[in-house]
Amino acid sequence: MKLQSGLMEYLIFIVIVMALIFAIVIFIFVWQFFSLGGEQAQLTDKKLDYLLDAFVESPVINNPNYQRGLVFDDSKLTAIASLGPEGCQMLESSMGSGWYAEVNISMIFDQCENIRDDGGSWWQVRYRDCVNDLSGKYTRACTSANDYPNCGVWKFCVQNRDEKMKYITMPVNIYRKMNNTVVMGTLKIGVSVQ
Amino acid sequence: MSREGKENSRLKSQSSTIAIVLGVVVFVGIVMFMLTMPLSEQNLKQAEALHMNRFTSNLLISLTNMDTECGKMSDVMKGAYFGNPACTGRCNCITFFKKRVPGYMSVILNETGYTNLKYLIVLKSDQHAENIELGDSTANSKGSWEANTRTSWRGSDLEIKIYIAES
Repeated sequence: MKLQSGLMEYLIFIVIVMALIFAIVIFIFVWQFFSLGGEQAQLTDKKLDYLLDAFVESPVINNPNYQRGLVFDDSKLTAIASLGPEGCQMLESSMGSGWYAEVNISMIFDQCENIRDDGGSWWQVRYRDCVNDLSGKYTRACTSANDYPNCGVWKFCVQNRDEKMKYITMPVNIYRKMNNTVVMGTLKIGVSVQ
Repeated sequence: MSREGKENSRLKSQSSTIAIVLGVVVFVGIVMFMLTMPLSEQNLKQAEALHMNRFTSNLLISLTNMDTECGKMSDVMKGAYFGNPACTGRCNCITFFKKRVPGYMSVILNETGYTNLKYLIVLKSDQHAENIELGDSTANSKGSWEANTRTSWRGSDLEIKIYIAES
């Protein structure tokens, strides 16, 4: 009877040990899963940072007269964007592959030059009209030289774009060669998340 | 002691040892997990802080670089602080700065997807006691991101500072 009871204890003990080992294995898998997820997120962030640096430093799209910050040259942007996949390959040769980028003009004032501040309430109204008018004009994509300068969106490496991308958006400046002015815009970069 | 008793005692001692070892393994695992989780959270927070510092810096540079009807924005800011001659043309620099910059900021924050951010732009100079502030003064608080740049006009320095915080 005692031997039977000892055997039962031993069996129960074995079951508990097995359950513990199983729990540990599950725990390690879950841990690995979360760690890998975190590392993947860090890698994606590093790639986005690298791409941002690459865009800042690229002489292919920046205006050499501005040393500080991102000042893209709209004529260079148009030239590369109008090349399509070839333009993408050109950028990828120095920046690596697996990304998508978009430059947008946010505000432009070349049509607002007659507006002056007289301090009255009309100022706000005129400003709004101006922005509305321009936002329609400059949401056009610059896909060929014919669109220039009446366009304000440049897209690069569209073929790399997919639904599982992580994006970063930064304020940038865009140099308008035709008017010799610097306007404000955004640079949106996306990289694939595995 | 009988043979059965010896066997039982051996089993008990064995099971106690294994139980202690397993307990230690589980305890160490849980402690390591607990330690790793805050570390990865900290890494994420650090990455976020780095990104926001860069965003704030780019925002300030883009804003000061841009051309307006009253000249370059940095000149408008100089005019707003030191008086109209520093600003291009016949513009009223201080009015232009106070009325138009909120519009620019609103557009750019909206387009970059940061509609939840509040900002404060401060113009100050060591040579003058007066500061000019634009935006939400609560944006200059603990945990906010800041960037600054310096410019000068007729021998006087002007510091342009921007604070960004979550609203």
